[in-house]
Formats: sequence, structure tokens, C-alpha cells
Amino acid sequence: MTKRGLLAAAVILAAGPAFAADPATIDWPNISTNTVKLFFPGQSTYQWLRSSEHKRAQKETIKGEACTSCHEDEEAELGQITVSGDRLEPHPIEGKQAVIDLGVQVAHDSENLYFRYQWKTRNAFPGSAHPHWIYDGKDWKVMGWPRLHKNVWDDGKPAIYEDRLSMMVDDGSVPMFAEQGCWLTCHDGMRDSPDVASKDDTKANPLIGGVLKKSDVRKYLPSTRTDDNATWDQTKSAEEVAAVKAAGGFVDLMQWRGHRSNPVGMADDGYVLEYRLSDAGKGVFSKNWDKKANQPKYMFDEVKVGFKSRTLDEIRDTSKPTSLIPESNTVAFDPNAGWKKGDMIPEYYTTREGAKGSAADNSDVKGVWEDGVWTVLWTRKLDTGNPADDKIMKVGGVYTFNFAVHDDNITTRGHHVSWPMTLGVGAEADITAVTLK
Amino acid sequence: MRIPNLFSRNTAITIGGAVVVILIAWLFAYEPVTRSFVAADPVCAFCHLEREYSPAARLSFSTPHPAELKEGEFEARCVDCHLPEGFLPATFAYTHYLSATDLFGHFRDRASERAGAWIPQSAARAYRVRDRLLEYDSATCRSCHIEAEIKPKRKRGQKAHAKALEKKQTCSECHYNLVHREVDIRDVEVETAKTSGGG
Repeated sequence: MTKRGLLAAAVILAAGPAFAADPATIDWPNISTNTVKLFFPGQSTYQWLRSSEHKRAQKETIKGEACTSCHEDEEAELGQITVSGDRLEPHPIEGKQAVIDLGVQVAHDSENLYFRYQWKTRNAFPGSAHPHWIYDGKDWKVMGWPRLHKNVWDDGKPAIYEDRLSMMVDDGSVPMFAEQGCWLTCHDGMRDSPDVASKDDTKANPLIGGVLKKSDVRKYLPSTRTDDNATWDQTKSAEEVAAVKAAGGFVDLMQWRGHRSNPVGMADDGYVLEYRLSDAGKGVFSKNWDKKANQPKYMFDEVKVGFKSRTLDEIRDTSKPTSLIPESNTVAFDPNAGWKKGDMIPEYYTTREGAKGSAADNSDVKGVWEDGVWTVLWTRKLDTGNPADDKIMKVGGVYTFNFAVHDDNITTRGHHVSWPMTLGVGAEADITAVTLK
Repeated sequence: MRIPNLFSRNTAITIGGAVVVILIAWLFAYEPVTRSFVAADPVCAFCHLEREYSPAARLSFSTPHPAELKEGEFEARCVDCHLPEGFLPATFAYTHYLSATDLFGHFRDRASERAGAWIPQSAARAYRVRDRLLEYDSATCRSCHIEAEIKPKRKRGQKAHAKALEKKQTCSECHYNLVHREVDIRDVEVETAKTSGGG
């Protein structure tokens, strides 16, 4: 091969990865925006939907009819019923929006899907704060909870929780997901749902407590339970669940997080099957706690950022770092750093360098909050190379997506959700990803 | 002594005429009398426990129908839902005694009732009624509710009714557990819904 030929080959090889577009350079104004209405679902769990309380729809729901066969275009009406506390919401939050309009633009090339999301926040500040450790003069204790937590609800303590944007994806492998979407995953017994499972009961469950070592109940699919009502404690064996997973019977769940992933330009990557679980590898955030020493692991690096900790009044100041990022702004926690009562350090740290494997697939996700609106640009590989816990997509394929936004210091049922909808990668669907040229 | 002839021609005609009049009157009165007196709510409540079936006796078990009365409406009586209109159907008010299904309701499992359990016999009765409503195209619903006049206010109701008409569904397929203590739906009801065009 001539020198010129070698040079050309080198250029082509070097340019290979660059075929993937930079989402910031995509001509978004020329890509149509789909306004997806997200509404507040309250405690409309899988079990409630199949009870006689779901009037005149019990049988239809059991047999697998789509939510939209009755409720199409009713997001605002349903959201109003729940936020007002008329039904399905025991703790209505004053001023909570019935619906959030989520602007969704999607493009694709041969490698990636590119999303541009926009939504208005209720607050005049971004939800980039999350619970912290606070020094009480003697010990470090948790400060900040989601708005539906009893510490906030009953005791008036501060509501501090990050904003989030979530996507659930299925390729048709999960029965009924195309029709009932995320309502397959929310169940009685879960946190903030009716009949919350006790810690003891959860720990005693052979799968949830025994195999997974969890002490609460989170999202799961009915296919992992043995009874028709998909009761949380009627779990299948780990071997049976593994067989469902091997057949692709899980839902991909990815979450962009205002505090625990956005500062490093990432989103987490998980899936829902017998529980809400992280993909294999190492996730983008971890708890900032050294169990052995019984103290935080990290504190801010005063030399780099000008402070070693924050106070309650400072944690929402986005002109300065709000998250601990070990590779850029932290040092090991020093218990003798002259801590004062009220000093606060984030309860979690977030890391791009530490994220590994399938759990780190969403490595190009960046959100910017401006004038009350979040704009999130999200790149997702069509084929992540991790079919064991991701939904592998192809150009021309049509997939079921479910969107959610957690707004105003909230978690669990306090989010806003969409009906399940189809997304076509260059194919006709509810939302069509435009082919980039 | 001469025995008087009680069955003279005139007497016979009179008696015969009276029988015909009574028969005709009976034919006309049979259904309304049956519906209004023989099958009046208090009579039904003699066997069918009032606290089990009457909203006036126990609101937590049975609710009035309609739930809210509008001007010119009346609360439904037992017969309105359980005895189809017509001469022959009215006979059911008499023949159903033979089954004696609820006569023994007075001697049933009190402990279960106190615990709030819906005892199987009562569920079985509810299922029989559901099956009859399905079999006879919700005939008793239709004696009050005229299909052409049903105009749901909400879009959801409008869509549901349009879909039901398209699928040729009957009222009770969607409107169940309306009045009396709830019973679980059966697998067969879900299956029936499937084959009726749902899905």
C-alpha cells in the first residue's frame, strides 16, 4: 500500500467513531417536536387497576387492553383527579401540576438514537440538589428527603431531591408492556404504594431479601411472580427469573439524574424484572459513606472549589459544584477538618471514571436548565453490545417507550408519566426518529 | 222437597261471565300486581336479607341505584333489576321460590359475615344474575335505560359506548358490581370478554 493509501486508511479508521453525531450539533429546530403529556398517576398500581375500584375496566385491564383504549387524551383529567387528592393520592401536594408537557425530538444514524427533551420545572431553580449528610455537632446525619416522605409531610423537614428524566424501553418481549407500559411495574407493597411491605417481610422473602439482599420492594414485572395478581411476595425462584431475563423479558430503564448523573454528563442504565436493578458493571453514582469509619468517604476539595462543604442555604447554588465528583473536585473526608454544626456534604458521589460496563452505557447525556426549562440531550447506542440487560434496537425497528419526569423534589409515585407509545427508528410510529443524513 | 236448581242457564251464564271478567282482569292485573305487591321490596326482604341487599339497611353493602337521584327519577326497586317486564317473566316471581336459594340466608355463617367475608353462596347468586343478564342482553337494564338516549358526558364514556356497540357488548359486561356487595370477576368473564372482540 502506498503512503497515501495508508494515510487514507488511517483517516477513515480514525473517522469511524466520529460518524456518531454530536447531539449538540444536530439541527434540532428542523426535527419535529412531539409533545408527550405526562400526568400524575398517584397510587394507580397494577393491583388497583385490576380491582373493582378501576370501574368498568377491571376485566379489560386483566385481559390486557391498552390504557389508551379508554383514556386516550385524558392525561389532564386523570392528572387533576390525582393531584387534587380526589382519588389515588393520600397526600396531595399543593400546587402540584396535573400534567407536564414533555417535548421529545428524536433523530438517529446507523449507531445511535439522539434525544432532545424539554420540560418546564415547577420551581424557579433546577433540581440539582439531593439529600446530604449534615453535621449536628457530633455525628453526620441525613438531611433532605423526597416531598412524600413522612419527615417532610409530617414534620416539615426540607424536601431535597434531584430532578429526573426516565425512559423505559421494550422490544415486544414483555407481555402487555405495549398496552399498559409502566403500569405493569408499579405494585402494592412498593415504597409509597398501598400496603407497603415491611422491612422484616421483605428481608424474609427468599428472592428479594434472600438473593437480592434488599430491604424494600421496588418496580417489578408480573412475570416474576407466581400469582395472577402479581403480589410482591409471591416471587418466582432466582432460576425461573433468570430464564425470563435470558428470553429478554425485562424492561430497559434509564434515568438521567439532576444530581447523581448530570454533572458528569451521564444517565444511569438499569432494567426492571424481579426488582429495579442496575445493569452489570458499576453505576454512575454511589453512596458517599464509609461504613467502616462511619463517616462520609469524600468531601469537596477546598483548593479546587473553594469550600469543603455546603450549608442548607447553599446547596441549590448552581454557580458552584453541587455534586461530589471524585475525579475532579473531592478529597478524602477528613474528620478533623474543623466541622461546624450545619455543615453539609452530599450523600452520594457521582463518577464518570468509576462507571463501568453495561451500567455505564449512557455516557453522553447532558442537561441544561435555563429560564425554568430543562433541556436534556441524550445519546443512546442502538446496539449497546449488552443484550443481557439492554434492549438492542435496529434501524427500521419500532419499540415501546414510556417516559417519566420527577419534578420538584420527588421520588416514587410522585412522578409524572406518559402512556406507553411507540418509537420508530426511521420507521413510522407515535414518535419517529428522524434519519440523519 | 224439591232441590232448587242452582245451575240454571242464567246462573251459569252469570257465573261464566264473572269468571271471564275475572280472568281478563287477572290477565291485565297479573303483571302489575306481581311487580307492585307480590314482589315488593319488603316481600323480597322476607327471604333475601334486607341488610345484605337493601341500601336503606346497610349502605356499605348495597348502594342506591342510581347513586344520585335527578329530578323525575326514582330509586330502583328489586324487581326493576331482577324481574324482566312482561307477562310470562312475571311468573318468575312465583317460580323462583322453588329454588329456595336465599331462604336459608337467615341461617348462614354469621362469623364470616362479621369478618366481612362474602360467603360463597351469595357470590354464586350474584354470578347467576350476571349470567342471566348476559344471556338476556341486560333486559332489565334496558327497561329503564334506552340505548339511543344514553349520551355520556365524558369522552371516555362516549368512546366506551361506541366501542361496546361496535363489539355488540351488553350493559352488564362493563357495568357490574354496581349495587350489591362486590364479588370478584371470574376467569370465565375475562375469557368471555376476550372472545367478544376485545383485546
